[in-house]
Amino acid sequence: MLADMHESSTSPTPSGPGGVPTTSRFTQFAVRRRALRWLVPAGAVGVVALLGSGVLSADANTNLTPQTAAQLLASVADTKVTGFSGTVVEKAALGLPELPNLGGSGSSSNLLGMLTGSHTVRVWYGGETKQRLALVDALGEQDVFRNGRDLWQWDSQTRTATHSVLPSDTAKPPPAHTPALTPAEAAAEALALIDPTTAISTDHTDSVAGRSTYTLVLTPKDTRSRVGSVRISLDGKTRVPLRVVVTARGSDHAAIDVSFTQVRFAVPDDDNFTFKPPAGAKAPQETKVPSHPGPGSGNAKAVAAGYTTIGTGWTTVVKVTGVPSLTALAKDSGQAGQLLGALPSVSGSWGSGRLFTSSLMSALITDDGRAYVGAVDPELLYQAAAK
Amino acid sequence: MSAAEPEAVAGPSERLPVRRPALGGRLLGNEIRLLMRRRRNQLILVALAAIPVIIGVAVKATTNSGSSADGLIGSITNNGIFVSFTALVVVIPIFLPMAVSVVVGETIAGEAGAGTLRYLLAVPVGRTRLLVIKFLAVAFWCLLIATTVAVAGLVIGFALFPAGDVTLLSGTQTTLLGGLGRLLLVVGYAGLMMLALATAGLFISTLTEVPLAAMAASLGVAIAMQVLVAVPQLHALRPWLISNYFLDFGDVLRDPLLFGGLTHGALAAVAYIAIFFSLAWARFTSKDITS
Repeated sequence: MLADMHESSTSPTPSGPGGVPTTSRFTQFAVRRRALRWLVPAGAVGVVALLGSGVLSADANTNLTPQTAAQLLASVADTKVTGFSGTVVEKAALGLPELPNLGGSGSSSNLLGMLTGSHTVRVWYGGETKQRLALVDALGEQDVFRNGRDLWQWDSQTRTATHSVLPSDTAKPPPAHTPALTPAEAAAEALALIDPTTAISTDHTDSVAGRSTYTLVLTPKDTRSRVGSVRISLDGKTRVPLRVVVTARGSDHAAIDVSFTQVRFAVPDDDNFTFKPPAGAKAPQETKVPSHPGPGSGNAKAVAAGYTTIGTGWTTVVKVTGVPSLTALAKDSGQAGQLLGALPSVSGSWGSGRLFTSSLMSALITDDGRAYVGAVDPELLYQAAAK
Repeated sequence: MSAAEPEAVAGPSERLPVRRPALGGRLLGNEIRLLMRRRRNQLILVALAAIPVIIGVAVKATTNSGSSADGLIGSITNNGIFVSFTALVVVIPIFLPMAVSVVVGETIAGEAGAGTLRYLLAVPVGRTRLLVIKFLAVAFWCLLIATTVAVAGLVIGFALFPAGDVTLLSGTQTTLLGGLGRLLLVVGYAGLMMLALATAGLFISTLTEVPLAAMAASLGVAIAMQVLVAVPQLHALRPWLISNYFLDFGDVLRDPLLFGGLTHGALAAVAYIAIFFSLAWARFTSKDITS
């Protein structure tokens, strides 16, 4: 472009070789030529706008042979991938308020933080015993390295490296309890819900992370579910889910959008999975994870201690007991107390409590320390609470 | 009109293509020498170099009393190279844009204000070439200010803190040489970001003959963009604002390097440069030079 401009301006005066024009025509010509120059920046703006808004990159022609929903589902079931690596961007717009740092670590990548905003996760997968996850912050990172039975967790903010040794009989559980971080996990969760309550269809092929994808659309039949649809983009070649979009009922916007922005289907190098605590890092005592309790760190276990599910499929309600009672929380002058205080209070035959609703989720916290959460209408939560 | 005259003078230079690169090079050399000789610019460089020194001394003073900080600044005690990284994080939102605005406001508006633009164009030099030379001089300045901060950071960092393997954000380590390579990347990225801002300033500078107005307007644009990025309700605007990409250089400190954000930032910078340079060109080559 620079060369272009240079050329057109080395002879800025219209001194045409074919004779000298009269003064008036000369001036007119010069004025018109100068005005034409503004076409160059206009063109630059146009090109940038086109490229920037992705009009040119959205290539709908993906050259995939059409597949029925059943064919796709079957091929997903026997997906075998030996390894991959990539970057996943998770966007959540659940209608939750921007939560202040309840986790207290100052980073947005704790579990509560994952429920709002946009997050980037880098994933390396080299088989069932070799994984690495990196939650990427502006100037920080939290990593989980798993290599065989060694599990390292790293937090760049506090420069803490935590080592734990997994029991030898756990080959399969994921390294840490993270809510559906990869599209594969998210899709697995969605596919587990498929039963007579779900309508399955396909949509036009698409492109995710530069790869052609099939689109599978799951629609709950039960209208009490707040989930409008779940769209899963499957890689055309490997059938690995590359993108999952959850839309709330009656909404056009994605409530949850988990998508690879870059992916490579090859077993990553081994040095991606090895971790050696750097000099100067804090290293809390080594922990041995006992054999049987489910995956998860101590914190997650404490929360998960008393949780049960009520109902099945899309209308599943999760009941959590042992939540600090509302009266105790109300006395808490901290942010949690203030947040709860702002929620509308509800009551019924089941008791009374506070209700939180968003386009996709409802949550009920009763005064006596129970909590009900589900992607359902509040009425279902009341029914569950009455049981 | 009179505007045609200086351009008409550019005619003969076309017939002497041999002299062009020599003249261009000489002009650029002159321009940079002028830039460096100005007392104000020297003071800016000194002030920028002072920032990493302050950071380094402050961290040294507080760690002796036993407290240890978190995050990037806490890494300084392990490796002096982090003084440079931290200092760049500190200066890139406001201090570097300020340093850029002061110089870029001078470019065309300064010459016009001082009445030297006419004479400059009377030398057989096309307006486009003059603009390119000004642009290159500004690019040099952008790289220079980022380099100054990084080098001052390295000097004070290695004087006060240990050197050696560099612990990256991912918790893995790289050699000191690898760390320096990454610092070089950050400096280049910061320089490119500043050049994007500077090109906007260059355009503003062609709009006025009052250098102070051009400086203030350039700085105003830089600050306005920072404000817009900070407003959560204007989320949709962010990808179009260059300041949104300033701090993405943190990705340089990951293992393996994460290029997504850096590439976006670099592309956005190139887009800014293309748009504002062509605007500046259209304006500068078509306006009447009266002073």
